[in-house]
Amino acid sequence: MIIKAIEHKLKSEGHVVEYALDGNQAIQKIHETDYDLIMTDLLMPFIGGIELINTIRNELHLEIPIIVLSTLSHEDSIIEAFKLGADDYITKPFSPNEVSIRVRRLLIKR
Amino acid sequence: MTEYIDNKKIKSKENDNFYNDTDYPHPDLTYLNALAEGDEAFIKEMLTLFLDSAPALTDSMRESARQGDFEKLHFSAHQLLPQLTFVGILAAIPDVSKIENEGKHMTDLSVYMERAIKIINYGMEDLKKML
Repeated sequence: MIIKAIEHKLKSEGHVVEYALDGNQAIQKIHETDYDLIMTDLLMPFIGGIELINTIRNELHLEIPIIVLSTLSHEDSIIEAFKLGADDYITKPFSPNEVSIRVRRLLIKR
Repeated sequence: MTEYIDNKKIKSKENDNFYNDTDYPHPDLTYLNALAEGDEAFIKEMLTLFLDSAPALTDSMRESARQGDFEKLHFSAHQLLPQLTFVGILAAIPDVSKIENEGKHMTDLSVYMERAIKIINYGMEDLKKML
């Protein structure tokens, strides 16, 4: 549902959106496509968000902007994500406008 | 004995139901409507997604609690929480959040579990009528 909500918001603003249902799918897609931005949850099947960020930054050496989706109760994980190279985070439940602004901010900087 | 949370009667010995069939909290679709920005098809898609996935998630929570699989319990509650926000079953959020964060250490886990599931089931009945 989170994926659908974000997809709906971003598509309504003209973005092209693809999504993966788990960390393995995400890595596969990243290998295949040059994305402008990645948004990831921390808790996912198979490969979690922390491991995904580590793979993107330290194995694939990609500088794609990364936004982490999380709850405030996972503060330590959010900090770890930043240490690994995440650029921003959005807490759940999120404001649709917040998603829009944070995505646009990172795309402008790119 | 009657239990109260936020001054609302939650349970009494006379009535094992936490809510009766008419005074349970109804879903609040304010957030979903804001997300949808007038797109009724999107609203129906989200409600359908929830109605399709929520029973399995609540079953998973019950079963993993019964088996003492607290990692799975945490994960199921974690998946369910944002969905409850989307469909506005807000009254279940405190209990599911508590289960997500403290499930392993709760001695009264089943109380919170059953209350949350009851609220969610009532909410689902309301949401079905909206489709």
